[in-house]
Amino acid sequence: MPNQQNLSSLMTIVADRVNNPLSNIRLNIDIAKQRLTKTNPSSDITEFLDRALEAINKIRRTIDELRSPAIISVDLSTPPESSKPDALPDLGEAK
Amino acid sequence: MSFSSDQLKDVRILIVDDEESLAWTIHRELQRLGAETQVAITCRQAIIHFQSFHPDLVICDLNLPDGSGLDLIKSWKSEFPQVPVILITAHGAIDSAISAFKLGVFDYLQKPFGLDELLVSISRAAEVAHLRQKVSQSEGISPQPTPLRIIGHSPAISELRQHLLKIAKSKVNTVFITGQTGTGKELAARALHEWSDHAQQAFIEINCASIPETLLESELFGYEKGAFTDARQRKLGLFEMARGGTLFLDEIGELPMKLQAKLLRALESRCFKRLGGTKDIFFESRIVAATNKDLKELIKNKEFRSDLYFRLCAISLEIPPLSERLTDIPDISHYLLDKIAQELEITPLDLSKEALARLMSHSWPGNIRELKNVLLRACVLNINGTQIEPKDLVLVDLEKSSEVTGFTIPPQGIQLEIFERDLLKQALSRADRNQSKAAELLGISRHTLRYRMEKFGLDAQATSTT
Repeated sequence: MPNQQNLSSLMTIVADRVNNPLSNIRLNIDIAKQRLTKTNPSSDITEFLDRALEAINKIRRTIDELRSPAIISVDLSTPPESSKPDALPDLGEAK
Repeated sequence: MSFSSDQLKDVRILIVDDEESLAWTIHRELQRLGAETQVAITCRQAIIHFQSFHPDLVICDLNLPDGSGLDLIKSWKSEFPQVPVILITAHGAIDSAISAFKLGVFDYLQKPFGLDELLVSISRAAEVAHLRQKVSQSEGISPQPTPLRIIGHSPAISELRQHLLKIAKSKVNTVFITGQTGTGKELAARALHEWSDHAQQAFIEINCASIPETLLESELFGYEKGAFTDARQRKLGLFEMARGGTLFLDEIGELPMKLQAKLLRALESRCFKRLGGTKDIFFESRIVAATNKDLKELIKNKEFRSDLYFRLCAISLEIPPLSERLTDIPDISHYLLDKIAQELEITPLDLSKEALARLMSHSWPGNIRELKNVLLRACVLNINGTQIEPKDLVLVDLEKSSEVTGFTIPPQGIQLEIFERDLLKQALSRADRNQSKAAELLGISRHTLRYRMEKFGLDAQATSTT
């Protein structure tokens, strides 16, 4: 049990360390995207920003899963679903 | 979702977060939206800034290097319960969320939140706390009218401006505003508030069509603790929150019948009871109601109470449609182009003479809202240009031109005889004074043409030169 408590505390610290800068990245991407949409609505850069936002959501889900009691107490050997490496992006999609 | 550059004008916001870079980003974006901001990165700084800056609302992180955000909120809430606090946290622990709401935080955002999520929360907090009307005038100085916002010099708008000013300065406590969609009823309501002697009080607005019927009553009149299952604590309604200011009820035609009766009672007696309450609560606010619907028609269909209608329309104002003040279009367009340029962060575009003429010949069924959208589109698609041309303007006419003639009678009507005379002159001019050709252009015989020329006193020779 003490190990589990230590792990839980560790995960809280990890969440704090990761979510703070992640929040800043997300806000800045949102702002950049909003400005870009206003000044140059046809720009394909928004697609790249959307992909960055998707990645942020993935990190957020991973942190949430790592902090869930089920992960901490039951199975630490298997990485959670969302932490598996992404499939390589189809570069042909980017216009 | 987009926020305009003056959405948070003059709202004072204290940002408390030890993640300096994040605090800087929030601070920059809120300043862009017109807010005044102050940043604190420790509890100590937050306490000092709160006392000196007098914020209207606070965004506060949960974990700070020298203490907990919850402790800060606890002390502020006991002394300044009216200041809404939005708690932001990287932990998202349920227990901290419960503690925060018990302390009375306005909202709870878990990092990494999005820009829209943050701005919606701030905007709601500012609105609910009636902060958007924060006035900086010194006490005792009567607020000066701000005519810039009600733009134009046409007789119709000049008269409206005069009426607004007179009513604003009077002790009238119920005003009814009618007008087509997009004419600026909300702007008129705001002018009534800003030009009144109670401008330093709150301006609260609610769109009666946008809130479900079941929630509308508690939004308007509030409720007592235990009034229904989820009523865990007393909630003040908008009537109480307006506190000597102005309560603007937009789309009043959508108010359910049951609430119409309660509103009428409140307007008549200037008091009401919270849901589940027994005590009469008196209010001094001015009530401004508006609609674009024909309330008489609703009364006929038994959808609106006639007694409430007569109570409301004792002092009523009608906002003229844009088609009745076409001469204001140049002024309004230039104002809107400047505003759009600010929003898009571009150099303001100009209108060519031809483009302006095109705008002034349109019927504007969507009024100023439609004009703004037409200009916005023209600016976005012409972002590197300097001047808007007629080709940049997409004007949709709901009453499509006649397929036969391609002509639509303008809203202000025409003088048929003048129109006919002008057509004759145009035909003669185009036919180079050849009466047979002119008659052909008009689809009439030469004899008929001559008859009409005589009727209008048009001399064949003179016509060619006019």
